[in-house]
This record gives sequence, C-alpha cells and structure tokens, in this order.
Amino acid sequence: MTVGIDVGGLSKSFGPVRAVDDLTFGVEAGAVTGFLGPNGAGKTTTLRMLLGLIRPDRGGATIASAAYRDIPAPATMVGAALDASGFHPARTGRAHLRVYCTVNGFPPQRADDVLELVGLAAAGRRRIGGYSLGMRQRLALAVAMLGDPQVLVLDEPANGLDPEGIVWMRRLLRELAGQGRTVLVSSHVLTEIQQLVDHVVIIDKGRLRFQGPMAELAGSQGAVVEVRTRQPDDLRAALATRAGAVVDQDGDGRLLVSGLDAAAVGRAAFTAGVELQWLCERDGDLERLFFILTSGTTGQDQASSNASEVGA
Amino acid sequence: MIRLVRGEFAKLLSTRLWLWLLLATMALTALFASLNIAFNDDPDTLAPPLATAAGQRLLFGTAAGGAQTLVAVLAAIGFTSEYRHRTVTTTFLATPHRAHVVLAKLITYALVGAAYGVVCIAVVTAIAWPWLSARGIDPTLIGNGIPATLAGVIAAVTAFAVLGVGLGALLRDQVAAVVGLLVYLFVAEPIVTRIPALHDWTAYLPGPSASALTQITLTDQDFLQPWQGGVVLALYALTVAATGLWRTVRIDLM
Repeated sequence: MTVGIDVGGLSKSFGPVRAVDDLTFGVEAGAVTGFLGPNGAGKTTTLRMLLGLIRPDRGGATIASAAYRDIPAPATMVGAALDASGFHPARTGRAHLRVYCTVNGFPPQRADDVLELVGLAAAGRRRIGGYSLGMRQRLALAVAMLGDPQVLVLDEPANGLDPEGIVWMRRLLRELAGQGRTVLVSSHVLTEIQQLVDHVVIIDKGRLRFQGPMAELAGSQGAVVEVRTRQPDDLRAALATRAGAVVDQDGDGRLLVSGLDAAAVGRAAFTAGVELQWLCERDGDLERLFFILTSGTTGQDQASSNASEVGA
Repeated sequence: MIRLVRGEFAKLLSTRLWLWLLLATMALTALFASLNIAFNDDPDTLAPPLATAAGQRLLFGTAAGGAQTLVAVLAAIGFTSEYRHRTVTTTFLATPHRAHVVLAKLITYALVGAAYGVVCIAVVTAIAWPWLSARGIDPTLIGNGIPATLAGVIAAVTAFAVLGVGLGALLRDQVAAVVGLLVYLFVAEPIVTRIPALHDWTAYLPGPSASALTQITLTDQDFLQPWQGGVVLALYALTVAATGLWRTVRIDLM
C-alpha cells in the first residue's frame, strides 16, 4: 500500500502575518518530495497543520484521504520528526522511545530496533541531555520510525548533522522511499536535498511557487545566465522587453537572468548596444533558481518575511 | 486509555522527580506529625488531647497537609514539562485526540496522589504508634472516626493532584504553574484565612475545604462540614481540570 498527501486551500494567520496563504499541493506516494522555502516561508506551519498540531483558518490536509486526527493508530501510518529538541533531557534515548512504544501499544523491542536503524544503539542508555544536535536528529527520526509508518514527514532533518550524517540521512531516506514509503522532507537549502528528492514543492511567504518533478524544476526554468556589464540598467531595460525573462541583480553589477539562454541575452545586449564583460550560462544552478523563485520580491517585503518566521 | 495511562506512568518513572518529591513529602509529613505529638501537651495548643478521638483524627489528618501541596506540584510539573521540553508534539502526534491525553494524565496523577496519601498515612502511623503507646495512649485506625479522616486524606491529596494537572494544562508554563501553586498555598491562602472578617468566605477556598474534609479543625475558625469540604474541593479540582482540558484541545502547537 502506498499513500499520498493532499493539501488543499490551507491558510493560517498569526495575528497580522499570513504564515500560510491558500496553499494547495500534492505529495506523491512512494517517492521523496522536498518541501522547500526560505526560513519563515511557512513550511513548519504547513507540516504542523498537516499533522493536526495547528488548526488551519481555512482549508485542510489529508494523508491517505483522511485528516490526521481521523487516522486510526496514526503512528503506524505516519511518522513525523518535527523538532530535534523535543526530548526530556533527564530521560535516556531508549526510555523516551519506550514511553511512546507503551502509548502506541508497540512491543518495547521496537525501541531497540529503531535505535539500531538510526545508528544510536550505543547511545540509547545515555541521557538525552548529553546528546549532540546530530544525535537528537537521529533520535527524532527513530521516534518517527517506531510504528514502521508508510508516510514520513520530516522537518529540516539535516539541521545539525555533519556532512557524514547528511549522506547517511540521504541514503536512509532513499532506502525508505525505495520500500514504497512516502517521504516529505522540508529544507531551506535546496542543495542539501537536491540529490535526494524526486519531487519538489517550493513555497515562499506561505504561497506555492513551484511544484513538480525535480528534473522539471531544472528543465522548465532553463539555465541561469550570468551577465556582467557597466550598463546594468540599460541591459535590464532591454531584457524587460523579452517575454519570460526574469532578471535578478546582485550588489556588484552582476545580473542573473532566467528564462532566456545565453544567446538570447547576448542578442538583446547587442541590439541595445550594451557592452558585456561577462556572459555565462550556468546550467542547472538550482540554488540560484531557488533563490529567484523564492525572492521575486522587493526589499520592503523583507520585514514581513522575517516576522512570519516567528510563526513558522 | 489504559495504554495512555501506562504511558504516563512510564514518563513519570523515567525521571527521578517522583522519588525526590515522595521523600520530601514523607519528611514533611513526619515533621508535621512529630510536631503535633510533641507539642500536644503544650497548654497553649488549640489541638485536642491525643487521648481523645478528635486529637487522633487531627494527628492522622496531618498526612494530607504534607502530601497535597507537593502532589499538586508533581502533577503540574508532569504536564508542563511536556511543553517545557517540547515532548508534547510527540505526545499529541501519537494521540491526536488531545482530550484523551489530558484524561490519561488526570487518571495517572489521581492514582499517584492516592498512593502518596497512603504513604503519608503509613508515615504518620509509624511515628504515632510507638510514640502514643509510650505515653499510654492506645491509638486505633478503625475507630474514633479515623477511617473517615483517612478517606478524607486520600480524597484531598487526589483532588490536589487533579488540580495540579488542570493548572499545568491551563498555564503550560512550568515556572508559572509551580510558583503560582506554592505562592497561593503557602502565602496567599494562609494570609487571607487569618482575616477574621473573611472567615465566611475563606472557608470555601481549596485549602480550608481540604482541612474540612480531613477534619484538621485546628483553629477556632468555622469550617465546612467534611462532606461539604469534599464537594467544594472536588468542584475546584474538576473546574480547573475541565478548563485545562478545554484549553489543551484548542491551542496551536508551534
């Protein structure tokens, strides 16, 4: 059995801040989906609404067509790791897991099984207060895996992991998806999960920016063209007349153009009489693309974006 | 629900807090009982002589005094530590019907409270028996209205446990809940109950209601009848618990 996730018209405000704004997307069963957005984009709020921890203002989310609270024995269907700090420091990792074995009616042996799975078997009898952030991330994943769930929802699971830990996490999540499980994993760093995910859902300021296969994200947007010129304003004006061009300028007079290839940018510059110092097509620069997708904004939006981070 | 209650016991027993608070409760109870016996001969004491039934009821009633505050603190910590350490997310993910979690905690801490009450009664008994026998007094647990007092002790401690869970659910902040409880029970209530003009009102406060229930009528002020005290105390506990439950079901967990 494989199960998907459906989010429909999900909205939530915290005071004046719209943390999640009419968000609709689907997560395919049996694949790894990256849930991306900058800090404060509303990722955590969305995941917590999906799991019944935050009440949406409007809309809803279902897992296998059921709202989370209506899933019988939810831990056997959905495993979630939302918070690497959600542990009592005086408890041992094993005791923490055994509490939730008891609550869910799983045999206590499961605690040792999942400790083994996440590579914490040796640390299981130590108090969580002495764990590193990376160990807590592993323990959070162990809690999620207790019920051998079909769906995994992980909020920034790579935070605090060392490079070796990130590789380990990728391999484990790929393996779990290979077993037919649905994995939804959030991150604010695209490169961190770029090699891991099959699909991406990108949000910013609570709104959907992109949803689709990872390959399509790289393909449909085309390459990013990097241009340097002494006349950036003239080039911007020239490019503004070209359909589909999205121009982003950074501090040192460098323009990043998406939606056009290098030849088209060069032609536009030539026609407008703009001298170019540098023209370079950066194929598959997803991080740049991600930046462009999630920051098609003016500077004044920055304040509200920071404010929404409080609610996220 | 049995699974959830067992889960709550697993949480409670996975740290040492219950043990330290139990030892503190036993020490406090031993102190109260010893003071009660030691100063019973004092001509200024308001306590009835220990040779009388009323004197012995008062002695056994001290078991509640030691237990009820610390049990309320234990119960409040039991709930608020879920918020403080953010384990509440995992708890509500396992049991999305949050009311069930609150009920499990209420049942768990009511049982813990009753157990603390029994332990404190045992402490008083262990101190009183040899001491009173040495004074030529023959104490009893089955006569002199003592069974009613003992039942009152257990009921009062249980009610305070429910009160503590409810307060923890309501406030969520551990420091606020624990400090609030201690300030109220050790400072605010003793002050207002000493204002004679307010006796008609203060008799209905939780502490005096518990005193009425356990028949610790040490002072000359008026108390409710034991059954009235029990009803009033139960109403406090259930009202706070219901409000805490109502709040818990509604909050957004960030």
